[in-house]
Amino acid sequence: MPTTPQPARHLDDEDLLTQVGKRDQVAFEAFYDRFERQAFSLAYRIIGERSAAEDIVQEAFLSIWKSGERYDKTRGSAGAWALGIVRNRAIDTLRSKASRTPTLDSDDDSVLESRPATNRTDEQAMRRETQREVREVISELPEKQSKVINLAFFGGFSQSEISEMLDLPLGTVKGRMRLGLEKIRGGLNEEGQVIA
Amino acid sequence: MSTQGHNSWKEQLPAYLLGALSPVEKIDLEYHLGGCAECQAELRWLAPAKHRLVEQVEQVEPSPELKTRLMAAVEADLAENPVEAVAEAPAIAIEPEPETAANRERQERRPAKKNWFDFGQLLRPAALGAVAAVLFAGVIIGYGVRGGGEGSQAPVVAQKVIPGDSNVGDADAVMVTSGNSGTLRITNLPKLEDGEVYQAWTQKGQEIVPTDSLFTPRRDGTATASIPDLSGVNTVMVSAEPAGGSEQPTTTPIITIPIPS
Repeated sequence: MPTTPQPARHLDDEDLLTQVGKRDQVAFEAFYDRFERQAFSLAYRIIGERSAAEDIVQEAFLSIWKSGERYDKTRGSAGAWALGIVRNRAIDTLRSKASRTPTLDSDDDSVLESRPATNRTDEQAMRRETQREVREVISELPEKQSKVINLAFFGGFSQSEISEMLDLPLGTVKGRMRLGLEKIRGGLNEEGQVIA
Repeated sequence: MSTQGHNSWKEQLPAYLLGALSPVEKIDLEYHLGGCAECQAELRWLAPAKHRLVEQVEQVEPSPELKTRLMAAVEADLAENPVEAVAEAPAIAIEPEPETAANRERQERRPAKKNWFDFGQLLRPAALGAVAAVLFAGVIIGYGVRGGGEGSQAPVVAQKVIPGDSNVGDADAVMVTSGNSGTLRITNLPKLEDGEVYQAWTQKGQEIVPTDSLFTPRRDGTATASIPDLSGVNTVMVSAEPAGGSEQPTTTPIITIPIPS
């Protein structure tokens, strides 16, 4: 007998969150199952420590459990909403742990890129191909653009902080972010899939 | 609005997507977005690029214990704030719109709510051990009170979380009971041989009674199984059995959970 309730499996992400808003434990578990790897991977990418990443994911999903009814379908997909919570919590943790000010003491790109992946499973096989394609799109960005995007999204630095740490005019940082995102976006079709 | 003024907002959209605006800048931009269809359209167009940044992250497996801890916290929350009571009068401390730092800042500007009990703090990972200790001690929690100011009180079903024992590897189990029914939550279950399933058993006195709860572990070694009737049960067990289940255990149970009377 399968252990995950079948009805919940058939609901889409948004409907699952609607049920979570009604404190439906089964729906919550199904929602968590769908995003646990992405959530943990994102937190781990940002924070670089397994235990801290797990704490972040746990806190993020508990907040989803308690605030699922706040999800607004009009503001994007349920998955993006949930992963946004994870990302923001990870950045908050990163900032509170480091109590940092913008610095170039280390090569931020190297630090951000060097975190290892472990324990891949067969279930991820399909995703890996997509990830490879996406990485190709991103790797084609000029370094100047990928650097500011990485520092912002995975490093949690504001555009002003990046401007200061790279000693660049704020307008230049904004321009590089825009160009980089537009190139990534340009490599996708209208459905958001990588253009072959 | 002048074109120049509008462009200054538009320039902020990439940083907004990447979470690289200050809280104040973010609030200002969101205010502008509320009334600017052009910026809304631009944002919608750019958004998939951000999603791709998330998708390109190398996938890493979390430990199975993460889910166990999370679901235990959810069950504890449900026990403390049962659905029936919450549906009519939410009593839990709902976190302020957790998705953005700007939202948090907005919340901080609001007058503080009077929460009689901050469950969110209690459920932080560091505190879960204490929660579990209380629950595992068999303390019955979860008597909710219906709100409404009429003084009407209606007890709701109490839940207990009971730890189990395992004699194989790192397998671990808890039983969450609610009234006369319960749910088994198991982690690190060994993989089964082909043609095998796990079967739950109940022991009433000296009699071992088969249940219809046949299950296989998920890829991460976790499993849940319902035990619909715990009346008179003093122990719940799990053993590996041939597909379809057995009338009596054919292998030594690997999980044993004593059910307090």
